[in-house]
Amino acid sequence: MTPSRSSNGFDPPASDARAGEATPCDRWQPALVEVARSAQEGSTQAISGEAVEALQHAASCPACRELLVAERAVTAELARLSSADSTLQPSVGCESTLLAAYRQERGGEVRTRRWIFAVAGTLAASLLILLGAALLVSRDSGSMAHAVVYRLLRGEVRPASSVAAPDSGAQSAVEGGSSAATSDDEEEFTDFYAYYPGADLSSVDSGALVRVRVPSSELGAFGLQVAQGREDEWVNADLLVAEDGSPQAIRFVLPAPQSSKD
Amino acid sequence: MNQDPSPEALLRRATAGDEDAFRALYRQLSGGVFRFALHMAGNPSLAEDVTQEVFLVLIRDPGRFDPSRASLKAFLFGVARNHTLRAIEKESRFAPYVERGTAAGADSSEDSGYRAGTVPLSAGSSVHLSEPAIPDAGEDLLRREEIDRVRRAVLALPPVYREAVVLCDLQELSYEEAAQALQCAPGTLRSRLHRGREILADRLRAGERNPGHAGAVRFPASREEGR
Repeated sequence: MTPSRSSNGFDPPASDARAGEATPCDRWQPALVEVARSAQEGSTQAISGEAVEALQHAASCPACRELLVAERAVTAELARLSSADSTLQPSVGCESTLLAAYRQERGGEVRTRRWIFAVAGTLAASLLILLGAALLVSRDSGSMAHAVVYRLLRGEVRPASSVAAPDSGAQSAVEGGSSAATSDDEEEFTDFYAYYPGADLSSVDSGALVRVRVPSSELGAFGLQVAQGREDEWVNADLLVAEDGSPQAIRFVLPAPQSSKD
Repeated sequence: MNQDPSPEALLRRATAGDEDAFRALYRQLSGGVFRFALHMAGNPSLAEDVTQEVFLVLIRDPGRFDPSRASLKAFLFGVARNHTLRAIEKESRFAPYVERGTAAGADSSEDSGYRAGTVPLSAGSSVHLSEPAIPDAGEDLLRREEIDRVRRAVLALPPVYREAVVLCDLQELSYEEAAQALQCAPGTLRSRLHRGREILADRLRAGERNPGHAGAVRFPASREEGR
């Protein structure tokens, strides 16, 4: 079975081209190895021009011919080994272990992803609830303010802010002016005056009343008279402020009748 | 026409959580990785460990694979090569590989051939061979001895040549893929392959002269030998 040394294909080339110094045959060695490898694979791939030249050279060169035989023998031996071991596989346990690791890893990722989604969802829901609540409150207060202002302008109601106890000293500073709002309590008011001269109050459809104190000397600007000697006093007033924060109108608290004081 | 999906496509699906894709990918490539490690190290247990490590990389850090640099197959063989070389180096501190091969080769006619579907590869380890035995026991034994002699000769190659021979001649990777796996130029790979085959031819020739001692032959001096 074992081939003789001269025919087994493993004898070194006669020229000893492999281990010795460079020879003219060296240039053909890579191509011959490729020829030997491709021949063993049984492939039909085209042989390169270099390989054809190498084969032609080997036909006339004993050393290269022996090299080709040796390479073919190596290729055949390796092919046999490859074929014999081609069915070797890792154990089933290896696959099971890896699948378990895969499930754990991916499961962990999915769990993490779910946790992140849950937290993000909860936060988003909370945010939406808060936003909705804020909008409702805002709308309610807006409508309420609207209604109050509308009715105030029509003189139907008195704002809650105006219920505060009058500063009698200050109230007495205002004289004259038409009293548009009657009071069930202690205060009476003038009509609303446009804060900016010439402004159309009918276009004001929402806002809020803010109780302020103004110097008596300012009353003249709205056509009101100030009692002599009280120009330095302060009087209460309700400022109608639009939703954008700009003042729209003002009314003044009328002084209480002198007789009630006495 | 029913074509198997490419390993790259399977990896994408597996990374997205498709377990079937991961299983398919494993079954497509694990055999080659396992045999590469086995031919490199001669130890089925080590080869299995390497196979596990390679696929754990895909499970835990699939982003390490860069399709623009190499095919997935080449990438996996590259990872397997690094793990195998580390394992061989670690093992060699306790039991030099060549000497162990020699010990196994010394009594190859009795203990190192295929036996009842079991392939002994190194001292104390074996791997089950699923292929049925050849009917003729005498021929079967002889064939197994010859194959085992080649296996030991491959195992005795210096790693730098062994990996080239195993990838190109046993795993039948293209030069390009093998070069990607070994992270070297295709020209370098060809050079190493030719030198490895040259050494192999010498060792097999020496084995012919002195049967059962293929693993005991000292390597010829080489310019590229040793990393």
